[in-house]
Amino acid sequence: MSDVIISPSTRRFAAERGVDIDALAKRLGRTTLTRDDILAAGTTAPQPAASSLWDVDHAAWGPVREEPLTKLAQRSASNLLAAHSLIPAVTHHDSADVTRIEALRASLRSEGRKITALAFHVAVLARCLREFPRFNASLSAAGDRLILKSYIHIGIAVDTPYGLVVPVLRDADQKRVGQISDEIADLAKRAQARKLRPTEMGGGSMSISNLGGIGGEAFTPIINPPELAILGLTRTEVRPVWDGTAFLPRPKVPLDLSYDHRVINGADAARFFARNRDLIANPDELLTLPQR
Amino acid sequence: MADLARFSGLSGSAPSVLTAQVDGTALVALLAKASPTADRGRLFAEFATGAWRACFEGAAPSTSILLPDGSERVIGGAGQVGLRLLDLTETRLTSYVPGSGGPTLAVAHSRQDFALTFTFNSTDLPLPDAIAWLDEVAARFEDPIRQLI
Repeated sequence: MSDVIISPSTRRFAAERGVDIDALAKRLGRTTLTRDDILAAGTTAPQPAASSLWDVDHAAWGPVREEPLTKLAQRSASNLLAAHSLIPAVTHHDSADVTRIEALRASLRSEGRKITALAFHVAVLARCLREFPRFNASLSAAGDRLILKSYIHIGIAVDTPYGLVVPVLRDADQKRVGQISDEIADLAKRAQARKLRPTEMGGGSMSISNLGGIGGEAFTPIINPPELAILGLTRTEVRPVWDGTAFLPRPKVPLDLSYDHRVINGADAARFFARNRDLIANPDELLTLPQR
Repeated sequence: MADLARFSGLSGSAPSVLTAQVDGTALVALLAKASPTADRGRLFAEFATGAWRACFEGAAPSTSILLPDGSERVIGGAGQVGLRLLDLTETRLTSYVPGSGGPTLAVAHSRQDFALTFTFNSTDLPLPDAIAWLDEVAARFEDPIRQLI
């Protein structure tokens, strides 16, 4: 125990701030310390460098082996760290009824045509970005301007053995769902084979991270800068939905929307997300009726 | 390959007629929510050309919409009209089979059902192609979202 005279609460305060009370008392030439002394001292204890948290001899605890990270994985990690550190992101969770989409997909499957659910999500997201242009934007490097995009390109996060890559499907708002489905399959296949061109991996409006084929009920996807938002999907499950008189079994897909709170406020995000959810449930509304 | 532009017309031989009746619940609901200026004749024509693209290679035929008052307007495509579409949905009529002219699709509406009547020359459009196409058109009337596929 230290010989320094200090109240228990001030001792705790010093510990919380990382102040070495013995060293401080010695430096001040005193045997008694007050809260003000601790405040004035600031943080005297050296803070561990970020990397030191990982600087551990794991072999001291048991056998280990090392595996080098690919350049792609290192770059991806660096980008994710920057995105997570620099963007004040909020994640909003919801779920959408996919009864209509699943019925159509089943009907098409019976005719030998396979259209992925993800293709519908891309088509719906493209429509939402057209209706909510503030989501189809990026902040300038100085953070003083918003760059609003006229095009709608959707990034598709693809898990590969070499790391996470996000190829971009161009002009998603101008493509049929079948074409979107085919192009996503092509991008994913070439991503797995490391055959993507650099030009195919930038310039997105917003990205989608789809974990539906794996599982989970919700997650908090990290925004892919300089985009302002990302949509996460997890596994569709049949859930009971009250229709006013009875519970009905309905397939619902969980949706997670992370957005940059510097640009998008919570109410706007909720409106965007509600529109997205409603279009997923009623995709017929995607059909633009010709006008006289 | 099916090519409606090659059609020599219906005269000179007995026309072939295919009909389809489909549940139009989804389409009726969609049209009910549409603005008053929505052009349903044009939508039906888009179903016809969309079905063509789904069934066959090559460009879809240009289409003209025949109106019950006898007027006609051409939409989409270039060159000669390959398909005529007659919108009877705002009448009490249920079908129309022309005695001459090019291939014609008549669309009628009764309660929740849509009735499609396709008149064509089977020497120009083989029956299997005509069946595949009309079935695809009918699928779009039954489930309009197919137009997005």
